[in-house]
Amino acid sequence: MMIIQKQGKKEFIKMHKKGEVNELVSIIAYFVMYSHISSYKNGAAVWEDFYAKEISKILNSAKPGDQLSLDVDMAGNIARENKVFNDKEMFNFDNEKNEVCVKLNTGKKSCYSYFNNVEVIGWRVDPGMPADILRINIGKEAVNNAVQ
Amino acid sequence: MLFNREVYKNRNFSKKKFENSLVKLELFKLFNKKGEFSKQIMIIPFLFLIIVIALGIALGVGLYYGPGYDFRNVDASALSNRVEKCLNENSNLLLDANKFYETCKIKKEVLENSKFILKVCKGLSLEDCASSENYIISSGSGFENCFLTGAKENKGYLKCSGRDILIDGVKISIVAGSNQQIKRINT
Repeated sequence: MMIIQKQGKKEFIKMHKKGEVNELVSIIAYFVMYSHISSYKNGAAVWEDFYAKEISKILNSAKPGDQLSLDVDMAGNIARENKVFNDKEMFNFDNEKNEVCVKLNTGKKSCYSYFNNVEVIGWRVDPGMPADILRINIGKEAVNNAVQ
Repeated sequence: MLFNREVYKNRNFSKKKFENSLVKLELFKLFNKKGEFSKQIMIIPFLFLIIVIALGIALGVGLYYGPGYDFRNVDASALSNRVEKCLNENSNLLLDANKFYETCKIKKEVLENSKFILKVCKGLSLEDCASSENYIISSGSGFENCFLTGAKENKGYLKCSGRDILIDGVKISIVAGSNQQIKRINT
């Protein structure tokens, strides 16, 4: 009697576990698909790609001491719609890796490298009429190559 | 549950019969592996369905938004342009290329890590420069891919920019290429 009851319990637990595995796989798949689709919300991923590459282009042609300005109105609008309000979060420059990152949606950001050995010492987005302008300040001294 | 005490009492099973039925049930479970297998194998259609749905969504999003902004041509062109300008201004680099990256303000690590290629040769054509071991500056590999005719149609191959210039009467070939892709990073 006890054996059968135990067996029944085991079967029940086994079935239950199997059900849980299916549920778990479904939930994981749902979150992966949701995060993939939501990264394209309002075309955020596409515009991140565009702005990261355009900024890398102007940085590749920049000289020490330059002040660069770029119309980022579309980026600003998309970021605000997706609840990204901070300039420093929206655009980010890594002087170690020579990389510019653009984030217009919560979750993921798009990064692109530039080969020009310049240092970005400051940047800000001026919310203007009629357009938002990204202003980038380039350092007066070029960064030294550590490895030749 | 089925063989609980009440059922056992009501149907007047003898203890021996009941124990025999238990043994039979245990034996049945022991050798009835087909049933177990069919239960477990049902995970495969389920996973298949999930994969098909995920691929469908990814394909739909990809088709709707397109392949992305291909910037490799611009990257390659910007690099060859920078090298050309730098060599024109600093022709001494052709004799001593040790300070090439520092003088031309090019970050070598980025070229190495971001799938850029660069080769500068003296007195050779662009195609010969790509395959030659006699170079002034070289970073990366796969220079021959720039001159493959089939590679022009293939989007997976890197995009290149080549320049032949004359500095102090010497022919200099610059082969630059890029296969850099956008990096999507979780924050």
